[in-house]
Amino acid sequence: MKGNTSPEDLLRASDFLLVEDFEAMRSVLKGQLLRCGAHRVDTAKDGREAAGMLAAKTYGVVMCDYNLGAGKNGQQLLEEARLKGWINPATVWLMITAEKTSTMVSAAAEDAPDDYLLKPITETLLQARLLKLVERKASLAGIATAMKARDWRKALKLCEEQIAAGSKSLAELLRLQALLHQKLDDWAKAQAVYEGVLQRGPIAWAKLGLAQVRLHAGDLNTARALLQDTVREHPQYLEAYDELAGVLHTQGEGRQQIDILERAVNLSPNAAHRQSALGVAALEQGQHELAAKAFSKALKLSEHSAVENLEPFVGMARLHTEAGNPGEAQKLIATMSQRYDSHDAQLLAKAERVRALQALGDKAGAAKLAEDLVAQSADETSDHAADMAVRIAETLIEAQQGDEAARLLQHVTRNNYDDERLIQRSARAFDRLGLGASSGELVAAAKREATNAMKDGMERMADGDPQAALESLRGAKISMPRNARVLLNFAAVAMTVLQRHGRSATLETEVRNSIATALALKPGEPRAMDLLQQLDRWTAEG
Amino acid sequence: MDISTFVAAAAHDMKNSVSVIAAYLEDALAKMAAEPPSAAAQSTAQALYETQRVNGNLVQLMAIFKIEEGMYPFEPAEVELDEFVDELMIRARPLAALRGLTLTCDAQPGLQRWIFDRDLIGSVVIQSLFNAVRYAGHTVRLSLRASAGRLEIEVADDGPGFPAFMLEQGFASRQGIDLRTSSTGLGLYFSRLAAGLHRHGDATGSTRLGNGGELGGGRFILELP
Repeated sequence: MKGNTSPEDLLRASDFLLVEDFEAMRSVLKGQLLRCGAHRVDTAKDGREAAGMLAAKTYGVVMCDYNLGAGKNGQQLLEEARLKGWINPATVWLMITAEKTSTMVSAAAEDAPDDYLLKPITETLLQARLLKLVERKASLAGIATAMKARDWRKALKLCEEQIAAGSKSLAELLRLQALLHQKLDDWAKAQAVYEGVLQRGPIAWAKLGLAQVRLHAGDLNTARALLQDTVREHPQYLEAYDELAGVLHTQGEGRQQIDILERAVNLSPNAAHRQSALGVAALEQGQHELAAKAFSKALKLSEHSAVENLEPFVGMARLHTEAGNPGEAQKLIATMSQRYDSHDAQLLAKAERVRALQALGDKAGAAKLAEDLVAQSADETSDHAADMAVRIAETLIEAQQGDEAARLLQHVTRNNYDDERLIQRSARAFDRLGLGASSGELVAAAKREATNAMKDGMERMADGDPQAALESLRGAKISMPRNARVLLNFAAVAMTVLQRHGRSATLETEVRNSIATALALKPGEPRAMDLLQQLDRWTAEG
Repeated sequence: MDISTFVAAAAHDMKNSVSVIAAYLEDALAKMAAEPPSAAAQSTAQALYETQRVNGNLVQLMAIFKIEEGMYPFEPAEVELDEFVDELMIRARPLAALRGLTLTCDAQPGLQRWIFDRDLIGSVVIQSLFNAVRYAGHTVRLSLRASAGRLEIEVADDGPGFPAFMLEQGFASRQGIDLRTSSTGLGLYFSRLAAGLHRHGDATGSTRLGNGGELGGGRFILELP
């Protein structure tokens, strides 16, 4: 918290938004807020009106009924507000509800409101809760801001300082601390935090975290056992079902994956992403009826949600194509492209069009589009671009575009030779093409090339030939333009060259672009953040 | 649909209405604020707290239904005990003041936080406080202490104590509820169920009733591992 602003001052200075569909309740609650110390209270009667107000003004406190009649519910409104940046890290979001149900609390920790307040709400209780929440939120705002900027190390430092200072938000801080260790790839420390928490009591998120640690270590069986235990002990903790379903999928246990997702969906039928996951799993197992049911439910749920959900469109389109209705499939894909304009949406839309064209017998059209799609997919730089590329390749295999699929898989393998999980994924796809052997060779060659370039570069630097050193690393960069390690190796050596042999605007731009691409591939990568900071310092010094 | 589903749906609907009634009553009370409180304000306050008792019962009824259906979102988490106690006192104090009682809190020093489901345990303790306020002579006391890895939350009063049949019956199972007496046993049944959900290792939460102690009246004790 800044200076000695008291929580009372924070309440007085905050803009409040009250979202409540029932008029009488709205005026009563507004009166309560004013008597609690709020000075400025705006009101909205439904999700649509609230969205407009949130977009126009930054509120310090949002008090929102979960049930808002037809249209968006409170949770969907909250997710949209976070997604679109309408609320800042210090904004308190208080959800009001008549009773606590699993449907409501099924949101992942990142999506959850700051607190739930059960009706009836008395003024004194509301005031106590508000004072506590604004104070707590203000104290966590620094961490939230650092996390938003993906500055994991700064966030972790702040987190640990607050834990040491005996903060009131200990549970939340420990959860964030473990999460940040994971982001920084320090899994042993994350494990230590989870184990410490579990010694004090049976906390569901710590069990899930521990399973994620095992999963990262490639120990699927232990992860699975831990998750099964979590689901048994905390049957309402739906994130554990999602993670368990993922493990079962990786282990090739499609039937069990469907079972677990069906259980989760029965507990909380209104989560679009989970209905989608069930649809995808059912489709994979050839259970078309179940898939269609889950996808249509997901499509319905997504109508009021700002969160992008492509799976039900793609899945439903595929079902149509396979049932001999490629025209219907095209229509759905067109709707998806209209609603979402992300790169992912464009890529998946194209992939499904390839499938539909092939099904319609337009082989030339399908081949042309597939070629186009491979180029576009290989050029992507998001943190999930490689996974998306494997997925596109799988669709291309199904649409009988084996050559294009192989090209894309080669690109993924070369650029991700150092990522075991991705290599395994693309190796499975290679297998489907009957090219199982080529995966291992590609990995070995890429690893050799990257290592040699770095070694060669360092030797040339030592020989006092900086230009030759850069050329070696640039060669690797051209061959693996989407590998963060290669890009950063180039940037690091180039910066040494810049330091020793004087500035060059062209080289600085090249370095900056390399770092930017590496950061797009691995958001918050500590080494990239360091290099960028150093470069910024130089630029500032002129 | 079986009968319990009807009951749950009806309870949900009633609870919504009760929330609106409570909001109106509180609004009315705020508008009648004066020192000393008018007779109308006193009656309104009485109505408000009766409404909250009804609300508490409905909350418990719905929670029991959900727990038994495996649908209750049970969420044990670290709870800051000073804040937990503050909120309980805030909720019980007006009713105690209305009855001219002293409501005190006695927490063992250094007791910072404990792991339990805040809403669930909160509704157990608040109903117990409301109950004590109803029967106390002059004083109601909420105390918290920890020993041997268990948190003990006690609500004690200086009233006539629990009747013998309740002490004998203890925390009856649902089948054992005696509908001829005015007590349905709902609160006690709920308390036992809520406590029992809390486990750590081999230890389980528990509840017990007694009479006597320092205040000489009824004692309700909830223990959490």
